[in-house]
Amino acid sequence: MVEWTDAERKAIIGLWGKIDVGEIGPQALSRLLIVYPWGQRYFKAFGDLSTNAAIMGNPKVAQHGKTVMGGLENAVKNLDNIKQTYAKLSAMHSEKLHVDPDNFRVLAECISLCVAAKFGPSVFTAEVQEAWQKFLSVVVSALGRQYH
Amino acid sequence: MVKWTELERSTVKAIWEKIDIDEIGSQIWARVLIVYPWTERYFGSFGDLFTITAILKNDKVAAHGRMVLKALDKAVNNMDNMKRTYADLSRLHFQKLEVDPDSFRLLADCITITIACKFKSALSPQSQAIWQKFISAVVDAMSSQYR
Repeated sequence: MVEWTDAERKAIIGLWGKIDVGEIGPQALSRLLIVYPWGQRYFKAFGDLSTNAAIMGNPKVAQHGKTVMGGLENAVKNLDNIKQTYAKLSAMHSEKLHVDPDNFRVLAECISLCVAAKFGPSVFTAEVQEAWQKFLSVVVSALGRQYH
Repeated sequence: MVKWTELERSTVKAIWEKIDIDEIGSQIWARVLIVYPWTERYFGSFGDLFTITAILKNDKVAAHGRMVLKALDKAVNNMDNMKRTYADLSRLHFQKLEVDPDSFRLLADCITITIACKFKSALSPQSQAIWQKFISAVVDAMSSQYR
């Protein structure tokens, strides 16, 4: 089981409290689709993703980004039980959605970048970065867990 | 060989020009040691790295970060020739310093995060894509002499 120090718990919960999922989620997903364009294959039903501007203005991308980011709330509230918290979601991404689990890692990267850009170095300090990236890597691992 | 468009070249240069090596360099190295603490194994001679406060205050950490960032200048000015530009440095890290090449990827991550902190929304998704392509070419070049 993952061990969290008190400082890490505080950093994760503190940072989460400042994050507006409606703001960061859409940005992170847009960046994923622009920086790692093969990710677009999962979103054929979203309409126009043909240019960066189209992606950034696409309301389905924005909504989905908000949904995914909001899903992190479960992990923040269940830091000691992330694997079980995401077991069903992991199975769904594997068996139903057929999402390559490496995409969880790159989405986590985009989320961290958006958070860094939003809050700057005085809030997203090295210490906070450590806790946040550790947290996201546990989430990524949990989401990949049910894959065979 | 990596192909670069004119837009990619000018974007990398524009980002690089805005980077203050003294300011960014020291932050980057502190982040590597704090976010990925196993990298401390390479810096036994740096003195006190036992706490986050110590790392943030450590002059050798700051100096090393600035030195590494200065070396990125070579990549910016030799985008068509990165492997050859970094061949000697790659061999040094492999044969003499025995640095795990995965560390280059971790460093690239911290550089990108530090830049994002500094530039905020000015690091647009397009710029991010270009910067990450550039930095992963640097990581490849630094890993190229490893066998």
